[in-house]
Amino acid sequence: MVSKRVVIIIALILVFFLPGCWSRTEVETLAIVTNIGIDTVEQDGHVKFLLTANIIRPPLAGGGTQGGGSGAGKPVYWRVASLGDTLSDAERNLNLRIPRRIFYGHLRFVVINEKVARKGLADIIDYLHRNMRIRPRVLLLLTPEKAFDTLIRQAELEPDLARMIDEMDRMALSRSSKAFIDDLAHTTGQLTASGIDPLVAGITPIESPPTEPEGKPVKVIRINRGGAFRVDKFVGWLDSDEVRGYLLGIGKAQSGPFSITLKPHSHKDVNIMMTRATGKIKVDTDGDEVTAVIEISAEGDLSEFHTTEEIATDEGMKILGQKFSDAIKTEVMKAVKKSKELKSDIFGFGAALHRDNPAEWKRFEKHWYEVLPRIKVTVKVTAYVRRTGMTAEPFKPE
Amino acid sequence: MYIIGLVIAFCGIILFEAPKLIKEKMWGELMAFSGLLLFGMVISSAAVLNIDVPNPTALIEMIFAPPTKLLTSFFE
Amino acid sequence: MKLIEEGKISGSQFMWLLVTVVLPTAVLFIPALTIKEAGASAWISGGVVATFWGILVVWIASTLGERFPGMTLVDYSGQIIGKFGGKMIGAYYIFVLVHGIAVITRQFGEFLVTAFMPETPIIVFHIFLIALAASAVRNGVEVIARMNHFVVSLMFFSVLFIFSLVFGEWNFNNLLPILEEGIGPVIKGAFIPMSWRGQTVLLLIFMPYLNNYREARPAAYKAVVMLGIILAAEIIICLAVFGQLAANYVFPAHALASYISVGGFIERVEAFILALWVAGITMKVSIWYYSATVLMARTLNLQDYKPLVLPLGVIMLTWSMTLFDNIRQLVEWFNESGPAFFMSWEVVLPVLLLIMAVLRKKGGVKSGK
Repeated sequence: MVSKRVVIIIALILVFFLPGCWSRTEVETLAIVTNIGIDTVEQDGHVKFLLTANIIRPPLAGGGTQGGGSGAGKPVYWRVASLGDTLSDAERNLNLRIPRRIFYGHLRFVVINEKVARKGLADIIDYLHRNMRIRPRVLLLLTPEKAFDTLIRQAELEPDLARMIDEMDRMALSRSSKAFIDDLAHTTGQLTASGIDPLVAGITPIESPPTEPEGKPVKVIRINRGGAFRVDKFVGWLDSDEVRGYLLGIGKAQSGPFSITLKPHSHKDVNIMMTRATGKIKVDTDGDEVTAVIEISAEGDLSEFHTTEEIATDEGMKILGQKFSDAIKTEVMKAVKKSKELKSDIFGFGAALHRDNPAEWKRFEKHWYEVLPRIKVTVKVTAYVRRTGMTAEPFKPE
Repeated sequence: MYIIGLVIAFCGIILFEAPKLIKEKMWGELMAFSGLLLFGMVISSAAVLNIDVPNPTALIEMIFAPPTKLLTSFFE
Repeated sequence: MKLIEEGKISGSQFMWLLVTVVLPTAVLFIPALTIKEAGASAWISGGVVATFWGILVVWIASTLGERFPGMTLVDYSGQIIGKFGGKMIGAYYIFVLVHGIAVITRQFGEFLVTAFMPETPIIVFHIFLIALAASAVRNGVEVIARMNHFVVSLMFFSVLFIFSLVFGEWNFNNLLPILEEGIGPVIKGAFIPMSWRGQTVLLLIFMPYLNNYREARPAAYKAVVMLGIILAAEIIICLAVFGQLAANYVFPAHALASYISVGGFIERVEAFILALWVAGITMKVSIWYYSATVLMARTLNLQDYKPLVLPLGVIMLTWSMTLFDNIRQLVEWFNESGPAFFMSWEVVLPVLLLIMAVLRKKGGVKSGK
């Protein structure tokens, strides 16, 4: 019966250890970071990282009862920044100032200053990947201003920037396809793979007129461009139309408005709302020539019609479809042109060649960025306009 | 400090197993038990006291690294 | 011909035991190691080549085992190459198993410390794992087999869960081009999954406990094929989601789990999956631990294996802490001496025993049951 007694004693001792964990962290001791910004600053001749964090403001002591209404004036987050020789150093230096552990478990996005990105993303990506709390799904953004300033811009309709960016990421492709926020895993994948370069969503800081009666102008952000990279270095911006051309080419675009000109007017007179699209890239070689074919098929509905002639016919829909596919083609070609100009293979022509013809890729791999501007790209679009919306023929004012 | 914990742990193991073995006169088992435990004691105390003892992994590496190299060299 | 223990297991329990002998740590480590060597064709290494290897291992082991129904490895090795030789073989397998458990325990500890609890001393995980496994081993093979049946189905569920919930991110273009560098890197990348799959050779230990030893062979084949499907699927999905980047992760399966986001509300599921992995690895250690203990009892001609459990645990625990200085040393060890070491006990020894048995006309098939 000795053994039974021993078991009971061991079980009793274990009781003291089992409730709770060794590495536990109580939520009251955490500073929950929702987004961070990364800049570099020169100090005493050294380049240092400036890490800016937005931390969720903990409920004020005793604020439980008044809650709600009175606290509405204050933003839910709190911006704090610190310098460090490396990013980890800067992260821990934050704790020289704030009394809670920096907790990245709820990190939603990372804003990187354009100038930092010009020098290379690899260091930053390494820091983000090595940290066990940061998920591969964290979103990446580029900004031409200091990331420090971006993080204090006004969030619109959502309580904080993190939620706002998160929601925008979710609907960008299904509303306009003019912006695309990619995540850490994909960006790193494109960065490390040969023959494809990342495109990171870009922020434009703007000053908006007052958003409420008797308010002041507010500083907000707009996600309307994309930063193209060569290997891991930022090389230039694509505007929102070019971003859509890129998204159409790689087959990520889903929905979005296309304004086109049917009759020679002074303005665009028709709008077609794309409802779905697919894109595929095929690359082939012919001696020293590289040719690429981008095949896109799209469908759309008529959503605006400014002229008065009959359109609700089979013939009319075909004409619209033709115009629609021309518009898509123009947009994709614009993006391709930009990609060649910047010598940034965002479309992944190299990767496509690698996929389809590994032997040929070996031949071009070494000097791919010289080949890139010479690639002959043809865009083949098959686009249909399927429906006319809730009205058939346009209303004729008589 | 750790060595005290170790001693307590070993006493626990001995008290847990040995009396039953002696009572049932399982001498073979007792011998095996004591031999293994002694070996365990030696290597664990050496680990706690930071004394280097020959490492079986190094032995495996010595014997099996050359044939592995040979094997993989076929597929370079 | 007497067994150390009276426990009996059924054919399906036997199959699930063999799955657990390989799966829990393979799921964590194999994709990264294989993708690093074989690139986009890694699934051929991990799924196809390793499975054929596994079938070979099972064929050899079960042919050997079927010649001596109801006998343990040490006993028939003794018959084949003499008593002393039998004991030597027993001793080698004991060493391999105890060392193996130390390595598994370390892998488990490294995983938990790296990915979940960086501030906990790694030995805490080791102690709990080995203590749990020790208690399972003392309860005997039937308890292990039943518990394993339960745990492994949960593990299957968790693996399928991860795979299916990242379906939105699958991009099968990442799998192309197939066999870019020829077959060489694929075979080279297959060595590690092959060593892992070959661990099914432990069926030699469990065969005598089967109700009907004839069930061993089909069950083992099924286990190997099942493992092949799971690991191939895992590598394919790691590649499809992360591309070559998967080789940079230490634990790609964990990265997959933390990448899950379905509709913005099924997120952060890796802790849930961790629970199942911990259970799975505990079972794996229990099975290896049990094999080592009964093998030792048989080699030393003991009546009871239970007194050996705790002393062996102490050795495993010490080795798990001292064998490797850091996690990369462990990985390098697998790469540099793993293949030949694993082959030595998974294939070479069983083959030698089998050839000797045939030449010396030992054992052989008698009446059916």
